[in-house]
Amino acid sequence: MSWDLPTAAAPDGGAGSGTVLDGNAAAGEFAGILAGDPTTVTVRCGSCGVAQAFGQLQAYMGGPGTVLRCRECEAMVARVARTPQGVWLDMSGSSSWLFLPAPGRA
Amino acid sequence: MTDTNTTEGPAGSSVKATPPARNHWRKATLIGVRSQSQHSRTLVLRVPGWTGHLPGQHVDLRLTAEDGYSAQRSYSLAEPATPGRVAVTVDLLPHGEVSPYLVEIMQIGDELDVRGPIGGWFVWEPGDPSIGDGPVLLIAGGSGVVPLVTMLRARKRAGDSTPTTLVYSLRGPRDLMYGPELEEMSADLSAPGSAEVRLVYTRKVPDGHPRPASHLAAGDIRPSSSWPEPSAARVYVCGPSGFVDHATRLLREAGYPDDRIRTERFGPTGVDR
Repeated sequence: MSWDLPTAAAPDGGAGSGTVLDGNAAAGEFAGILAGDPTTVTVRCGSCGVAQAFGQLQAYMGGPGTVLRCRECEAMVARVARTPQGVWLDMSGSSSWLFLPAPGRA
Repeated sequence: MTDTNTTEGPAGSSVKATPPARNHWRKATLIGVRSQSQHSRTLVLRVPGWTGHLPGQHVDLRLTAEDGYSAQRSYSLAEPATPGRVAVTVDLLPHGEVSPYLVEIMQIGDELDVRGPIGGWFVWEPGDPSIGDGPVLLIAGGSGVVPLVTMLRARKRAGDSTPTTLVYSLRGPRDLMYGPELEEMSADLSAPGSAEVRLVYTRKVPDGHPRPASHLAAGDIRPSSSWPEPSAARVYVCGPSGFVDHATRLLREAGYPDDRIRTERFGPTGVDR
């Protein structure tokens, strides 16, 4: 992966800054909050009920927080915001998070 | 897990648990650069305390301006694990906020912050029991080739003989990353660590290349004649979102179930690389 966002000084005024990434790119933001590696977690969407790997979720980054959306129905499943007050984690759009033991690793 | 929170000391004594490495920013110093294409380069960073990573993982890089403004981006690790050392290959986004600095301005000795390694899903560790004897199909769009080449390098270093094919979609010859290395890796398919490489040019084809310019198609992901099985045990796809969606569609049409496909998407560019 190699990604970047345009500056506000770009010819389009940084209009591309809403770039959609995936959960792999968002994993660093979640890694300090969850105990394990986020990308191997299976997340069930609270809206449509589809389960998908965290790494497959749509990730919206570059704003004040990181928002994860369901790849099937685009409903928000989770978000993280880092503020001077503290770190906000909102998982209200998801119904479950399945943490599998990593095979062959302690 | 890719890191451990408790380690055994030299005399077997338990060492105090360190904070989880993935979310811990470390100071990194640029110690080497290598041009990879006309708009990308590999940065080699010295990162004290870096204990290693798995092929396919990435790091977050953070740049901080004098006024305190900071920006962070994710880049795939470009080399197999070496203690104290991290390499990333950065593709230039014109008018990007971070990549022009990393590709054109940053000099040896300059510092930035690194966090990682991150991710355990888009990873191929040689010997992975869920892959067995393979084969493995790697599909890259543009700079999505970086983590896949790291997988190929790790496989070669480990002496792993899993049959592997890399399908690499790119716009034209000037966009080719790792050209000499891929040519060497695919020259003699009986050599250890070799892999079949299929270059899929989408706009401009170099002289003598057999395939005309067009987008990735069903024929490009066909099984290799060297595979013992008619389909791959695992497929890794990395590239821009539109490219990954297109490749995933082709794989489903070819009969691949979703649980054999692992994807990593990035960037705003479209399907054509």
